[in-house]
Amino acid sequence: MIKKIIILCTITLCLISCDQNSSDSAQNSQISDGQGGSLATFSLKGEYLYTVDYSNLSVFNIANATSPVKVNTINVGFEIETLFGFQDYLFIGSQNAMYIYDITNAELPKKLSQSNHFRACDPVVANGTNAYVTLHSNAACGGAVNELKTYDITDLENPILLNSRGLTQPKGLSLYGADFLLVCDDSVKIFDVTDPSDSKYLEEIPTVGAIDIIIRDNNAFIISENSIAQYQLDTTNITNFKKISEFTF
Amino acid sequence: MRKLILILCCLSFFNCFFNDENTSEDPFFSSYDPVVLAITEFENSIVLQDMQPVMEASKIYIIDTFIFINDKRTGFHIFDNSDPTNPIKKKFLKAPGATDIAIRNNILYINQATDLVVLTFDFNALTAVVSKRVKNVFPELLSPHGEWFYEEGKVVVNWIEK
Repeated sequence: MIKKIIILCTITLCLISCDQNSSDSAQNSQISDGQGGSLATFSLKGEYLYTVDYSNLSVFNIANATSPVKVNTINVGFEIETLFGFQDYLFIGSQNAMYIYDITNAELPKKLSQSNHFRACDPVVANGTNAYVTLHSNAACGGAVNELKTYDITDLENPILLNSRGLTQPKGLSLYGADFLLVCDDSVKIFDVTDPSDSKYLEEIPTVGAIDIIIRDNNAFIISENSIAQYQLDTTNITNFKKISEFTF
Repeated sequence: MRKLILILCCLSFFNCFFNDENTSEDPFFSSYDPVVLAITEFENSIVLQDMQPVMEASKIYIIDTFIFINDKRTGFHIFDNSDPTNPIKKKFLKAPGATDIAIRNNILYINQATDLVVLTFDFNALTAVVSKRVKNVFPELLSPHGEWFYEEGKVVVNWIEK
């Protein structure tokens, strides 16, 4: 009998929480934000726009959408390049480190950690458990490393480097669901990251000069030096991608 | 041990000399020229134009059925993607100095060199109006080698390789 009551309570609680979720998303649906790639330096969250420049993280209050007010500037480090927002966290890529900031208090980002790496350009993406950083070297970035780094970020204050995988010259990247990571390299490479400590290379989407990738639902948008290509992806069979179009510049 | 350090020091000095021949990191012999605009020209430089050829594709941003592609430090190409099998290049939002954009509903936020610029965009008519310019919230643009340029009343919007 007690078991039944517990089960009943659990179900009721689940239903209530589902209900709250759906009403939340209903409220949010009035706001439509666009989506940037992993090389972006702008990130929208709630009533705030976060930006990074060479050395600073800036916070703009955009409660009045057409009249932003700069409310904070935080010196992060040197040669900052990319900003990626995930839930209440900002992941900042610089030429020699990945920084994680907590924005639970929206106007006062709090530094949680800094993971240093060799000098190179480095976009970062993350989910609830892992962060993925690509490092690439060229004339502007300097350095001599080209690799994909995987961090365990279950403890955001102490990211643990799980592995580094050598690549050709990786640039932008995007997670596709929880299981896959797509990386712009000498082609767009698809990795199975079901086990992030042992990611597996599966397949490539042939692309020359790929710069960055955005995945929205099951659609991939790949920007390269000479084109914008769109692909339909399939979570149940990742190697079964279909080209929708390619607009050549 | 001391000898070793001395030798290493010597080697690194040699390194400097040899590098000087072809390096562009020497601030006195920069391999980049700044592109500058007078402040009034800069502040009136954002214009929505007819489509333009893509010169240097850089970052990508998507919202609903539109794709924005930054042409490095010159502006944004706007594509109508309502038919993904046939995206159409519609407009060029000229914005000298800009690299990044964020869009919420019909409001565009752009980093134009030192300024954050807010535009109100009509996605049906494809028109844009500058709603606000928040001045001097970003640092002056440095060259890819970290060089700096300052002249009273001028704004650096790009650095071009010589």
